[in-house]
Amino acid sequence: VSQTGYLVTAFAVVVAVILAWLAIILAKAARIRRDGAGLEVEHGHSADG
Amino acid sequence: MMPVRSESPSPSSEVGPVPAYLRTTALGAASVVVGLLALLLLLVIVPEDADQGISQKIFYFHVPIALTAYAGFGLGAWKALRLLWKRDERYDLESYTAIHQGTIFGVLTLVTGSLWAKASWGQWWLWSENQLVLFLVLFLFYCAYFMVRFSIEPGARRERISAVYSLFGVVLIPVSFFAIRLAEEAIHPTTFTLDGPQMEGSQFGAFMVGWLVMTVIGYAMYRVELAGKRTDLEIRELRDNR
Repeated sequence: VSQTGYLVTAFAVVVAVILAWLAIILAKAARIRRDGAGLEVEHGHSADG
Repeated sequence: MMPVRSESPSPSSEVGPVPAYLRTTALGAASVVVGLLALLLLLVIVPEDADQGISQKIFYFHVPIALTAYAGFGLGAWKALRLLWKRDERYDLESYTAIHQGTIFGVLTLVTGSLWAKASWGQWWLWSENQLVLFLVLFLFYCAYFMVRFSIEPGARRERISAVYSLFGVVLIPVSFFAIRLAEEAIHPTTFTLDGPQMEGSQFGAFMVGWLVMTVIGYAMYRVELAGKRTDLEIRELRDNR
């Protein structure tokens, strides 16, 4: 592996780990939003009914 | 069955305003992208090291990442101290999130450091190097934090034990940082000595920008993750209290 290869690999690892973290966070955000919307609907239902 | 929403539609339930949590996530994502682009530009502009060649540029993100890991562990310990002092449970989540960020940056420190070691020393790892081994001990100590934390039922007892554990770990930070400076023989480079930074002005400037970028990214990640965990906790409590 060339010297440039080590540099590029190290930088790519940093970017990949941060992007993986971001993907996990966004997936969790989607779940939290669904849960929150579900609660809102249930509350609305009981209030209406 | 679809429902309630279609029975009593309201403008906010159809296309609601963007939640604060998603706005924070977007801000965090933007800071990560801009920060990494700035760092990439720096890597292109800064001149190559005469001895190590282009692989030495790993230094401009390896060291800032390590410092950010220390900052994450340090912040976690500070929040733990606040928890024990003020008895305010919100510090528990803040301490846990900061240590989680420290661990992520710890992984990156070990991987980028190992790649740099292979490029410049010809070895992936040297057990004879105090700096490397002590950082690994620090990292493993905080990995064990999660095992300790999740082996206890949520509540005041878990908060206190986690806080005390993270305070013990923070003692390792100065030991890890100063190990290289106290060692008589070391292959790991010592860039910052009592005589100041051992590098040229442009290299030092690039390092400072790299440090700033990693600190901003680390802090943005901390805020985003904390906002998500808080919202998740609030929703769980709402559901449990129904």
